[in-house]
Amino acid sequence: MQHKLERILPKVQKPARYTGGEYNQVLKDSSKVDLRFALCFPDTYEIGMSNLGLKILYGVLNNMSGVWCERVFAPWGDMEEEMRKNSIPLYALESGDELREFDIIGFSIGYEMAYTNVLNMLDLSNIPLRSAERGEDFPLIIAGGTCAFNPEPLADFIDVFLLGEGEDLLPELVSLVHDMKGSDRLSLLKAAAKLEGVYIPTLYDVEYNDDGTVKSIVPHDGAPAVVTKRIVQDFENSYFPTETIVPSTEIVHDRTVLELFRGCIRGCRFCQAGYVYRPVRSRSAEKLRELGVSALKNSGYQEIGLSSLSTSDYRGLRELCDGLLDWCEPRNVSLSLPSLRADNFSMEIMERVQKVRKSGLTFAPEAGSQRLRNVINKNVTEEDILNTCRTAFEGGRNSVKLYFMLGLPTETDEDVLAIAELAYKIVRLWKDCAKNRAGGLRITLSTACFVPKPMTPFQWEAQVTAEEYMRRVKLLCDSMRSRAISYNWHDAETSIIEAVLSRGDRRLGRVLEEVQKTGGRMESWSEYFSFERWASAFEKYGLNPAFYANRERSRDEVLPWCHLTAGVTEDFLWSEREAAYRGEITPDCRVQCTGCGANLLYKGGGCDD
Amino acid sequence: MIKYRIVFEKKGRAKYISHLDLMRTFQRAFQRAGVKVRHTEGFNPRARISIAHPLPLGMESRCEILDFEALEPLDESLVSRLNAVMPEGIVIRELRENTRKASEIAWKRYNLRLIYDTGVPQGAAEAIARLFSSGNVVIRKKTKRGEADFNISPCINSLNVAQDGNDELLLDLVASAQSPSLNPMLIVDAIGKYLPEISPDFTRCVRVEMLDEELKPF
Repeated sequence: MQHKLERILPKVQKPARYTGGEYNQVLKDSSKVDLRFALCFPDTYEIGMSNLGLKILYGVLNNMSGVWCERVFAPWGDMEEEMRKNSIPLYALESGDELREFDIIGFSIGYEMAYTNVLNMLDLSNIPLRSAERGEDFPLIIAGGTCAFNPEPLADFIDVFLLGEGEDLLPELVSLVHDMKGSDRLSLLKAAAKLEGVYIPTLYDVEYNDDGTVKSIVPHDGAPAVVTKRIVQDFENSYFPTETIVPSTEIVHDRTVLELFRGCIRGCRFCQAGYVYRPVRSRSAEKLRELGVSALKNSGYQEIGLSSLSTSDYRGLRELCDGLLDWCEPRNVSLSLPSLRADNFSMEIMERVQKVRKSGLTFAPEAGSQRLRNVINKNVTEEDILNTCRTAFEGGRNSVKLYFMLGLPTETDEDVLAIAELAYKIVRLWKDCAKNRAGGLRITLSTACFVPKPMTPFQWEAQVTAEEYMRRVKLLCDSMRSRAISYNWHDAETSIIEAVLSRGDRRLGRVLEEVQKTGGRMESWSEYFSFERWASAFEKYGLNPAFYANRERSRDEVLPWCHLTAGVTEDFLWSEREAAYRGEITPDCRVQCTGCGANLLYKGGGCDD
Repeated sequence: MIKYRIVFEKKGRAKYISHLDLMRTFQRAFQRAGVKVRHTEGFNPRARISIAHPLPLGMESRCEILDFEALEPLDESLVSRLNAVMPEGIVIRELRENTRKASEIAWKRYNLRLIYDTGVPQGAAEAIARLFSSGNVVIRKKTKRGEADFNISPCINSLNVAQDGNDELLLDLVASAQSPSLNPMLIVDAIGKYLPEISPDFTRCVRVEMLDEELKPF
């Protein structure tokens, strides 16, 4: 196969992403390992290699003796075409061996638009898509990641889903597969279902009502009625990769990454990550400095980025930044801080970190009016934003990026117009206090169509239709005439499909299969996305996307994911939804524990200590 | 500040690393090995390293040279220190003090392996040798402004053809390194144009040696 590959690589763009061989890749002798694991990321090399979860799992698995974990990414269109033309099956980067030779194929799925890539990667490996069509000789196909919290559209294709964090659970499953080599698949699945956090879709029968809603989800063969996600209990001392693969070609986040904490204290009601990654657990600044320096030394990277859902909420941020800067500055290593809040403390930290380069400011107020920000529990005020802008303008910065969502629950035209008003306030503020006027002010304002996600307080909400989203886009567009503001809006079509898949049921499996068969892949890339392809697949199977996207669910409806939980109770989510409709904010976890339920997952005491 | 030069091989999977990516790779490898290299000034300091003759993507080499300035004296141990932290396929051969200008490289030697899946056609070696001794081999070459005719013959110092087994021809080529420099794959293009019936199915190319004006190893 290496021979065939050599002939096609000169014909494709950026061939280095298909070769492996990077510094720190793990090579083992395949004849001497007991179990081979293909860790698959259903998007390009550049995106996948930037994913911290993948680096963690690669390290965890390769630290197991007798196990060899290799990486697999989705090929870009030109490469896929050449591979199919020359009968080259999808292969793992380290060994170049095709996926059918592996014991376990594991997908990390972070977004719904990657579903067709999962199917396409199986197809490229000459592996039947449906679990039912795979014999005992085929590898076990497993999946995890954020999408596992409602994996129902993929239920026909994946043998095992892992809910929550994989550091402990994945090795447990791999050991089980190793110990049960030789026994039949059903026995293995039944045994796996006993591990906490494992969901085996074939061990559940789903029935539907006449109106298309789910009637019941009934486990059999000893599978648990409710599968609860797993978390890492001792986050401080849990595995963190400091010997990471250094790609030989440029990737999206080409730097060392340091994970400060998991979970988020904020509770923005639209944010799935904010609910499904609870409870909050952090690492000490001392530990993080040690891990960061070690990862930098080992990789040779000259940039380190801090990663978490809300960097400003890390208690030891100042201490950590000082500690890292002491090491980084003399060595020309830069420190980057994403996800900072718009407050004075964060600005001060940012000024300290970015001593030379004056980068722009980025805010995600998500909604234009304070009323709607209260509805979604986004705790940022106009005053915060304007104060931060003032400091920035006085310091010579001249560009601001603003991100909003349109179609949030209870949104009115007044809320939409408030987005323009906020932008104009920033324009006026700049005129009053800008120090450096030469280049002029640049405000880049973007809107996306809100996608209600499972396991959030908005999981029962209807998404606005594409027409309504575009009406609001036009309303906003017509109300902004300043040359300083440039407005970009995301198309609604991708958001509709995302909304369908994120709260979909098992009947969507046929749609996914049809979309893949008719050429659907890389659907998160606009050059590949085709709404028409999805529309005709829905039609073929008599399913209506509006049923999934634009329909409000009642409290007593059986949701397709009701047998899975991230620890946060449904009662809590519903009470948050009611608070949203009353326009009431819920204080963050540090002000007061809200009793969401995720704290019960944490056996080591209260969260966020 | 001491000017150094390293000689390295680029082979196997590493032949798909582009020139720009290779610069980044070395920058990081120097960091990993703890070598203090002179950096550029400015907001984004980068190691000041240069690779004299960028290798086309997909080609192997046994003789690449990289020049850099070190902030402290280095010795031979650098070779093993760097090799311990390089990606697969990049192997440092030696460290030299940089005393000769890279512009003294006048010629480069290449080995081209022409592969014929169904066996080398009868008389192919002779036909290729004859073609390139004619002194007038003109091909279309992409330039900054569209395409232009380009006689590659003056760029060829010597070209020897030998058959290797049933399926391969081995071309030993010494080609000009400057004004203009010859991409050895143009030899294959020329065969495709003048001798389409003996155009190979695939060609592997290795840069073997850098030579000076007198054809002595640089």
